[in-house]
Amino acid sequence: MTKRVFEVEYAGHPVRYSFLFPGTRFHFRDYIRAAGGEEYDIRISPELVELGRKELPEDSSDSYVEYRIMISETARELLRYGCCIFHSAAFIFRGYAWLLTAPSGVGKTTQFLNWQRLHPGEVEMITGDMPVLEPRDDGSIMIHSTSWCGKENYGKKGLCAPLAGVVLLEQGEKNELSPLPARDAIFPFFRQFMVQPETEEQCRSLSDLMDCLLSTVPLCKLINLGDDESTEMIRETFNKRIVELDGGADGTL
Amino acid sequence: MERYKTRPGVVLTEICGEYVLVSAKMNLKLCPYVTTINETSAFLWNRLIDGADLPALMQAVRDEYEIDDIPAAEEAVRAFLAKMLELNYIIPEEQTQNEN
Repeated sequence: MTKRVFEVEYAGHPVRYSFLFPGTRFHFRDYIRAAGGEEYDIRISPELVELGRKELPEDSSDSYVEYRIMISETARELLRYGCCIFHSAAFIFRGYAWLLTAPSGVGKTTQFLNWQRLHPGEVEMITGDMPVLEPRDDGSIMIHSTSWCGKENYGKKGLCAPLAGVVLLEQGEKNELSPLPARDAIFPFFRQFMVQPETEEQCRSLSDLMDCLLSTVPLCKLINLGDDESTEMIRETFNKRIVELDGGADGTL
Repeated sequence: MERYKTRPGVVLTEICGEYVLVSAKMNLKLCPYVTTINETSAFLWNRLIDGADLPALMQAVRDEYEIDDIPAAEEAVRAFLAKMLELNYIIPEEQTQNEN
């Protein structure tokens, strides 16, 4: 029997899926639509599902395992368009998109929740886990939502905004915010892109996106306790950046 | 003739003025995913891609950087090759012939 093909659009680029498990479609529910024809861009093997299962909780369903594996497969597919998925919490503050990036468990969502509690209504989550970065011809980077919103499931379909800054989070015993030179961001940021390229062309595409990301917006590093003071430090920094953006001053975080 | 080839699936890119070697997934267990290198190493990497052997690499360094000190040029080239071999980014040509 022919499998149905489904389509999800990322930054205007359609990606066509053929799922192993019928239930996988459900996990994409707000974003997916049935596609005509039988051609697809991504279909994963049962062997890859078994490999992926090892990275997830034991009780993960087949469809959830397939859904999670689709992150890296989709990220790789998006490199064809110069876009990629970047592991981070992406939210909108005063009309601009901001990324808090760090490995899982470091406190990206904690910062967002602190902010919501301290300043209700100021921030809106694009996605708590896996935004798409899209470089534009004018040199800007647009941040788009995806269905992968993290375990807390914070995010909203259709939200997108121009990127204004990126914060690399680290846990520490005090709060300390400092500018992050581009060269120091190369290693950690490569690891935050949800794909290791498979071809030389993909290596170049990802490097081009990295170059755009590191040269377009200011970067900073926040060693933090995950407390209210650290969140206020981020907010103050972003507010200064917005003044610079709106006033045309230089772009340092 | 001592000659080396760059490993397939490894690409030299420039990110914010930094020279970066990025390795594709097929090399996952062979060499680092990402490594930054200096300008001289990037220059030598591109000469390796052009097919330069050891004497040609040394001549290229002398020409590019106007070095009249031959031992210094040789030392720079050998240090580059040793580093790239250590990280598995390059392969001695006799090894690539054996692999074929």
